[in-house]
Amino acid sequence: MSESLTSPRFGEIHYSREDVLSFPAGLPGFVDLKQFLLIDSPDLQPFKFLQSVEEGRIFFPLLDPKHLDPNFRYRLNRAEKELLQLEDSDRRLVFCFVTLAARPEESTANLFAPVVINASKMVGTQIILFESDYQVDRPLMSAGEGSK
Amino acid sequence: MLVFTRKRGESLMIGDDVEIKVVSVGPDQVRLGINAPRRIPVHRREIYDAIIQQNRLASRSQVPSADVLSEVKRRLTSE
Repeated sequence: MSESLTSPRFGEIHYSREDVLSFPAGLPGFVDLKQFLLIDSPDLQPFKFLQSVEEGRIFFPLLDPKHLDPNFRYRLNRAEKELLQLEDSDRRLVFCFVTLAARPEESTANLFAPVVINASKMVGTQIILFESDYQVDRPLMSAGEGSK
Repeated sequence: MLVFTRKRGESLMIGDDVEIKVVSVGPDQVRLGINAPRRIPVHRREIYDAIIQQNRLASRSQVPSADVLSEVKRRLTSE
């Protein structure tokens, strides 16, 4: 069944129920938002966007963390795996949230709290890498300088 | 705020399914153990606040112009 929402950024978006990603725990700061669409447009590469279904004006730019740190690693704990209903054969995606300023030099990426999506079950969550040295606001334009 | 006095090994229950237990007590810190259902995330307050703040900033992102996109692409692929 086709649905649509209006986003100030992306205009009218048509989607079907199967396209909707469920975030059962919401996102820190946005715990009431539980449904998102992953917007992946050739015009917007290398970014993707997590667009809220419930609040048309809310979206988050995403970036593959490997762009910023080729050695980027994360681990899911048992609770996170359960929340994601993760099985070995499932397809997993990981992104970091990006804060895009008008100038790329002032833009940052959050490697400390990436978003993990189980694309096979269409469930996602934001995890926190407590044990890591990753930053919440790593400058976007320092790619290649390592993770510390 | 409710304030309780607890000894080492004692706990508090919040509702039916969240238990907070005092594991050990030192001169200026306590270790707490939490038993909670998996659907309830538990985080250190200051770290959680930093993530909230960063998520709010991310949600106010500027829409990337074509210039920004090409600059980002160039920089990210030039390593």
